[in-house]
Amino acid sequence: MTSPPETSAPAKPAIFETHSLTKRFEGVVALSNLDLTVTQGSIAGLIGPNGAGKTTLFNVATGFYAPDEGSISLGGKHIGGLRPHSITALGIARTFQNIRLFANMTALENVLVGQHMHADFVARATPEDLDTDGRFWARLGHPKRWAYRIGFPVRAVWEVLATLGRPGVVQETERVAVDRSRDLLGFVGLQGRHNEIARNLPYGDQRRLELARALATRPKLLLLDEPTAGMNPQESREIVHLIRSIRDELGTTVLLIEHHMHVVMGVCENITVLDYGQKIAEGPPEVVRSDKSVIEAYLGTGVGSGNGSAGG
Amino acid sequence: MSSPPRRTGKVPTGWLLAIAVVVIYVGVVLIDDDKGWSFWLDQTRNGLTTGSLYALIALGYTMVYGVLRMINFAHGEVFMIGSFTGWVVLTKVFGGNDMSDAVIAPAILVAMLAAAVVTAGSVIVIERIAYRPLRHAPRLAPLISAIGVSIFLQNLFLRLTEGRFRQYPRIFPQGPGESVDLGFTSIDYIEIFLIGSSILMMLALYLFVQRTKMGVSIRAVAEDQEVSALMGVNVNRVIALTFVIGAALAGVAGVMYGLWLLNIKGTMGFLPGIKAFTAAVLGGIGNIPGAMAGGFLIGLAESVGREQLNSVFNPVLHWIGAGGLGLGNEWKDVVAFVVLVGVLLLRPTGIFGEVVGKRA
Amino acid sequence: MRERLRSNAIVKPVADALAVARRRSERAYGSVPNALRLFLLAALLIGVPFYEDPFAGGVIFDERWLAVFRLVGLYIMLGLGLNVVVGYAGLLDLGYVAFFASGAYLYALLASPASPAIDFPIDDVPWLFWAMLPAALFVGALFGVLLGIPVLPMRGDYLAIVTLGFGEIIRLFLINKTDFTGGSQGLYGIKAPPLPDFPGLNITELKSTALTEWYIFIVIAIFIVAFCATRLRDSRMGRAWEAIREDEDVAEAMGIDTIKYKLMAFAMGAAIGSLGGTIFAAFQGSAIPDSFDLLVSINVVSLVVIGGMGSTWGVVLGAVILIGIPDFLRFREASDFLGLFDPLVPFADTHNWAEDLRENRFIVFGALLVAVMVLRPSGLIPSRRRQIEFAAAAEEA
Repeated sequence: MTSPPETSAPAKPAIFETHSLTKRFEGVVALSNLDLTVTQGSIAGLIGPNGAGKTTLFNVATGFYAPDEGSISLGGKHIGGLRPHSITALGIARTFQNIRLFANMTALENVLVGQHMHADFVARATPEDLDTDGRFWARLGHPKRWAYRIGFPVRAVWEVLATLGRPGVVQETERVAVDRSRDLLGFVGLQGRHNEIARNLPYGDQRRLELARALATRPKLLLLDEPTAGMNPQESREIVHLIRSIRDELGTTVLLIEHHMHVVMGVCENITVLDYGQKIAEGPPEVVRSDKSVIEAYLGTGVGSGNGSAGG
Repeated sequence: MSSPPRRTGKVPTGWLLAIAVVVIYVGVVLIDDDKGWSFWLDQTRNGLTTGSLYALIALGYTMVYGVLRMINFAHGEVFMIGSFTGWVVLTKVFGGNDMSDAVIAPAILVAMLAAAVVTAGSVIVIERIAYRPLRHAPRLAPLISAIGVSIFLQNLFLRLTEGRFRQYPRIFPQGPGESVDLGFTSIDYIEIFLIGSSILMMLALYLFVQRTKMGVSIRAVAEDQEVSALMGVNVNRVIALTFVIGAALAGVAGVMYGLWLLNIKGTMGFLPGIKAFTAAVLGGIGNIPGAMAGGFLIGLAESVGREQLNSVFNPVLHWIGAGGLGLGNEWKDVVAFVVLVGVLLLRPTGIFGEVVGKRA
Repeated sequence: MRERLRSNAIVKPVADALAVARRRSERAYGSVPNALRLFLLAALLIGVPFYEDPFAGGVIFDERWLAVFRLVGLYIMLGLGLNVVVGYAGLLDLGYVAFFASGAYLYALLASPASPAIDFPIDDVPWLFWAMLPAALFVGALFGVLLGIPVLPMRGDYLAIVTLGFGEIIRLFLINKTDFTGGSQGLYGIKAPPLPDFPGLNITELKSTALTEWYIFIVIAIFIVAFCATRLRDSRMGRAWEAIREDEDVAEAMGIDTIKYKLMAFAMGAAIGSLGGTIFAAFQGSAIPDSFDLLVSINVVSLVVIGGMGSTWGVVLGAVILIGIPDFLRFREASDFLGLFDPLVPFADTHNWAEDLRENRFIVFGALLVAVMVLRPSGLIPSRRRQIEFAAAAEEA
């Protein structure tokens, strides 16, 4: 083991943290006692051989799986075990290893779906403390949260009536959402392709669209699962550029999984290496590059022979 | 540094659950003094007989689901076709109620064989016309197509029979004094025949799937169609084969149903189909031994469950002032639905835990 | 080879043309329907009972026709409701009859003299029917949510079978709960509600009969329901439904509360179904369990699928074909019309084949469902999206 988390220069606050996070599948340990910290405003990388548990970490972080042990927090709020849409509301968005767009909807509509939470004309903001610190409230639910729940039918009826009657506030919300979606499409470089069906877009543009859709949720932390997979060098350079501008212009923290080493080493400021669900190295690119255990894990000269089956 | 994936011991939850169900069942029977032993034995006997039919039909659902991830909605109608084929053979070829004792055994055998052949043939046609063109279509398409086949067959047979029942010849003596006395209870010949032959068929199927080359290719296709195709397995033929085996078993079950309950009708396949499907889900859909166990469990749950539900629920209902809401005999059919919803909600993998995951 | 040819030669241009048409009518938010066109159509349809035959005199569409139209209209309404669930949100519900029945019994329990629920029917209250329409919507939505909750985690095939089970349970309940629903006898003797006389339209000497009123009432109701359904589709809610239909996991990851929106879809569909039920009980004058069997669900699903899932005009066409034509076949005119084709039909001299066709309509339904799925899976009048979806599937195959 190299450096424990507290030594990694806490100049900026951490936005995303896991503590002894563990996830098992049918007896296979996919994540084992993982401590991970992503500092605010950074571009962090997550690498490791196939089956090291990288995508599993993403799935736990976005609520697709509930963690078995350990804690996971975003900006100090515990998010372990929340439903995916609540986690998205708190500020994590993701893209997928194999692109998962709404294939039969247009580019604009895809991004509009990403805007769903922010085009909410019923409750302008969901209660901030969807989940709070402290186990007691986390289990029982905060009083505000219960008030929110009990108000559900009223809001539902209002939502239906407003959808049918389409008063000014609804039209205005929609117009804002559409405008913002267009901006986002422009930002990722899909100007003028708003009305194209997602499945008809070329591969690279589908990746960009997925980025725009994730950005539409206004994330604090963006998880990218192999954003340059299957791209030629020119295309991946463009994506790297785009990732940088996402951080620089939108201020979004980025955590990405990547197999292309030149991409990782080029764009990431901090890299975490996973193998068999455990962190085996961490640090800036130049440190990780020369780490012995990393080389071992990648070249397979060490104890760990054969492939893990925990699902990458 | 890196350690290989650790495997924690896997608890055979499925078997524990199955044992728990049996224990609860026995407990219920033991505690309930009012009705007495013989009543419960009758219910059990009855439940096992129905259950063996459900198990046979459930195998078709489970096998097709295993390879295609699709519910063959028309499977209950295949069962009905089998039953009508058996009826034609027994009444038109062998003379129905006038059948002489000597030909009874061959007649039943021929009827079952014919039913198996006809159902297998019809399911090949169905698969070819209604399912195969839709193998890559969105998921709703094959399902709706199957519903179409189901409606078509049901109404076709209703028309052919003018909506009336057809009667099987009474080959097996049934009724008081016409059964085998086991001392503590008695059991009808037909019930022995039914339970015995279905267990035999299920054993044969199990061995076929586990031991033969065709069986291995079925399992391979269930695991991964594309890889199997690369390995030289003729996927289309394997899929057809699973349809055929499932259909043949359902066809034979149809004949047995007729021999046992005598009256058959064009709509007869609907309820047994749903219940067998429940059995397949209960046993873990895609899991062959699971479907067999599920069939018996549903059969038992149905014959015993209603009685038990009554004795549990009636006091409660009276207490909340809804005494009249007691469950009548007609509610028997609801048991299966309740089990189905319960299983899908609480343990979607079924008791034997075949992983269906989110594809469900 | 042949399939590839077909997909390239036919499907691709269709999809392309659609994309072009779409680009042209950039729909930022909700297409504005051509209001004038719809108004003319409504006027045309409402006028139907008053059309006169210029040659023979008298009206063209007499009461028999209006009775058929009324039934077709009812099924269009049910179809529009189920379309929200199946077409928009992609949840295959085979137990739609449950909501239809709940609406019908809701009204019948109050209005039928046979009702065990109350000592005397409140049928002398003229506005009861009108008051029950919103009540039916509300109760239907409630039922939709209640039946929706247990099936939330289920998808596709499982959902279909479990909802089918719910439909059957409701029917068993109606038959067996004699002290509440009147058992298999049902609740009967409901007085016809006083519909408005539509005096403005009564300018001809034709008497505005009850059937005419019902017909006009239902045409107006369909327009309102269709308007609402379209609004739901072209909204944030409709987009959420679409996303759920396309990929539920991703929809959830994009911040859509999938549980909420699936329940919303069930509730909306159920509300419309329940409304249809109340109207049915009112014009039928009774609610009996036999009217609420599996066939209703099958009819509605079939007409939605055959017409084209997600498509409003598809529902209309589906209802005309599946509900209208079988009833029409009973008419003398149908026999006369089909008689023209007798020379082409080998067994025409021995069979009244119009009657045969009617009696075998469910066989034809079944075959039609298969044929539509295999040959034209997006339905007869497909919605744009379904067409793209199925075209893409055909290309992959």
